[in-house]
Amino acid sequence: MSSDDTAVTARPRGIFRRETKGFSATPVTVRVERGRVVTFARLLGETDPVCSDVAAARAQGHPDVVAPPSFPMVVEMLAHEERSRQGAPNPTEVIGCDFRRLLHGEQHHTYEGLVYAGDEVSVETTVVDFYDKRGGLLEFVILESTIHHDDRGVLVRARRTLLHRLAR
Amino acid sequence: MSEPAPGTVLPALTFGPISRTLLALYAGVSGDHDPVHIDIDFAREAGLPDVFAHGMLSFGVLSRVVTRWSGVAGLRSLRARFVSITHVHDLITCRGTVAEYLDEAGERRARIDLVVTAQDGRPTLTGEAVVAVDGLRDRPA
Repeated sequence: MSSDDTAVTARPRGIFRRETKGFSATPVTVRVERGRVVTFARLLGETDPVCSDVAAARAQGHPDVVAPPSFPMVVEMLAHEERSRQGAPNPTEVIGCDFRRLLHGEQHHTYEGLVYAGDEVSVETTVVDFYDKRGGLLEFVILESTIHHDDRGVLVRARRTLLHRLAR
Repeated sequence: MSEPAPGTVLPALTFGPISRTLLALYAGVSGDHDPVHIDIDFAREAGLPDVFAHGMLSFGVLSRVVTRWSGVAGLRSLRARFVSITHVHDLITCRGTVAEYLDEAGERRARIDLVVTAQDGRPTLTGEAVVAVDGLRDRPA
């Protein structure tokens, strides 16, 4: 990766640590708690009872309430907390996020299986790439995470793009 | 059973106005504690006029437009690009339009174009979803 802050005209200095491309965070296992799923679903106004009512979920053949489609990010945050507890470095720390300048650019989830309350899932996250736009005024990072269940395999693949707004 | 034709619009969903309380609760339950969404002092020190909503809050509400038709189990992918900031007090509207049908991975799927707009018409999110359509109702509801 180039971090050519000497080249061109007053190119803003990037903040992300480009040398961390390829970094993989320590895989951790987290538990999906029912209360968290139900509270999360209700806050988003989710009306499908499979996400908030155990009886309704079981009546449709699910073992417990179903995590809504945006819940994988919660799983990633739980993984972040778990790594912090273990003293393991987290991707957003390793790449040098500055929360004063940070924005969420894109999010792409691919669903291969449902996440249920009560699941224990393992989470792996890799720093895939960095790139610049607008002459370096915006710098981007792509993080890829996989949420995996021991018996049911990969449940979700999540690709997150974060960016820094940089000043000249 | 006939499929809803490409161009069919899924029922829109309106959410908000986005309150500071909602952002605090979302930060707590989601685990995303980035202070730029909940702490106006932090936001101002960062040179911003105010806190603003988590992109994933819109992503989560938007997903309902699709899953009301497909069910959570029928959703295959969801992609979002956060094109502008969602401010405190914004009222967001989430819309989906059936774009095309695909035969993929041994099943019939629909691709749905998605957009979220604020009350002034400003797009805040654009994206797309892919859902499995076998066995779904003719008309999105």
